[in-house]
Amino acid sequence: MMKMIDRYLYAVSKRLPPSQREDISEELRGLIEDMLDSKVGDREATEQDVEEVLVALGSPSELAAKYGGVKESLIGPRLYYTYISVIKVVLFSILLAMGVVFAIEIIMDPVSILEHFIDFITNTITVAVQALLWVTVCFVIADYNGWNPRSLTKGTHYKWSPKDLPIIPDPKKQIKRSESIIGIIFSILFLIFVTFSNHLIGMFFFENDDLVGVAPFLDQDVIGQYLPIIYLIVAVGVLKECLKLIIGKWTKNLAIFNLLINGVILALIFILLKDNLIWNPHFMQDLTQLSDVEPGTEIYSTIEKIWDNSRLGLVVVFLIGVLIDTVISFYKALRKDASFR
Amino acid sequence: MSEDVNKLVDKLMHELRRGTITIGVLSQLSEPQYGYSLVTMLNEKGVQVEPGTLYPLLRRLEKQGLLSSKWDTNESRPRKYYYLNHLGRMVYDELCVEWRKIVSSLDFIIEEDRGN
Repeated sequence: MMKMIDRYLYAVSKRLPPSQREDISEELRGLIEDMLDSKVGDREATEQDVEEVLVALGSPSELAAKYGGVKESLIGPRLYYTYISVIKVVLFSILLAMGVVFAIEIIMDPVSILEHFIDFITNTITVAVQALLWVTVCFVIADYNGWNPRSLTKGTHYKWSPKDLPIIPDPKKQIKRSESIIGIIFSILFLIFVTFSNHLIGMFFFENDDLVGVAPFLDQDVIGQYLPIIYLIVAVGVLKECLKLIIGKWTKNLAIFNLLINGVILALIFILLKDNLIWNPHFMQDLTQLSDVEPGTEIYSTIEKIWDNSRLGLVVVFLIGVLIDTVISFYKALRKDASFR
Repeated sequence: MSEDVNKLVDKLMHELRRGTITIGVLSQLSEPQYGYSLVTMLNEKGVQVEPGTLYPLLRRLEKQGLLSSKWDTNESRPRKYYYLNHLGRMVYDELCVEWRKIVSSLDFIIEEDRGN
């Protein structure tokens, strides 16, 4: 019985701006209880009473609309707030990554600061426009296909019944928003570094607190050819995180989708790494030039060993990470719902 | 025929009421009230208002700065009380003046029509 009220409040608050959700829900809960009390008097309230009170209050979408919630538009109320938060995260990470790239570039090469600044501005704008476009396209498709809990927004002629209220997801199956958001931020940081400053991905050398140079991990002559594959990996990864944000809980379908996406990511990583061409072949030479590590010394051979093994290690880490992610998603999706009475 | 008349009157009255509810709400909030008590008070005084309309309205008036609010968590269930603040008081007084103007001009128009 209380469950029905919770579901109603959940359906309303999903359509409200996140900052107001809690306050409005609390207020409405009080209202519903007051309405119930005045309806039943001293008698015990039944399920039927609750339903009648909720019907009198109107459908969640109508009520949310009266609170100035989101109206039907290109991206409807169900996904609107998820869309806005993804956009914010994406723009924030682009700005952050571009800012870091810009900062490192001017430390390394302070003379051409103007040039770097122009690059910073133009690249940020280009990337931001692209990102906005793609995120929007993804959400429009998701909204159109109804990849979200059953909708209640069917206009006013639709006879609304409390039985249609969406079920509140089991907290154990819920996907943490922060998890997906961090995933998106790192994907975009990585993408931007690989695209605009892959010479900065490497080992940094300092002398008296001054940056003297970077020994890049990646082969700059070859990386260009592999960029499309890297883009694809990041795009697929971001798509996965967006889906998790949209659906919000682990379901069987989402777990299967996750498996497919992880398979694609692994395949792409395999293509990327299989012939070891993307790695900087002169890494050890760069290292000796930038530091006082001499060939033949013990420290040199240790670094060389780590460098050789780390490439294999990276593949293993990826493999294990993807495997764990897939298994956990299935575990969460298939476990029984916590019992509600 | 009379059914059509009723339907049309209902529809027009609905529109007419919507604007007047604000005045009704402001008039009752010299003392702090929570939403449902306000619904009951207004209905007893003949001002029809649905909770689903009143609650969002209270919040809107608060956002516009006419009302202030505080949560009372001492009672058995927590309730949000709204009351008229200084700005709300001034707006309400002004609205009353405007309302009387509307009433008198409409009275005049209706009487004039009857006279013919």
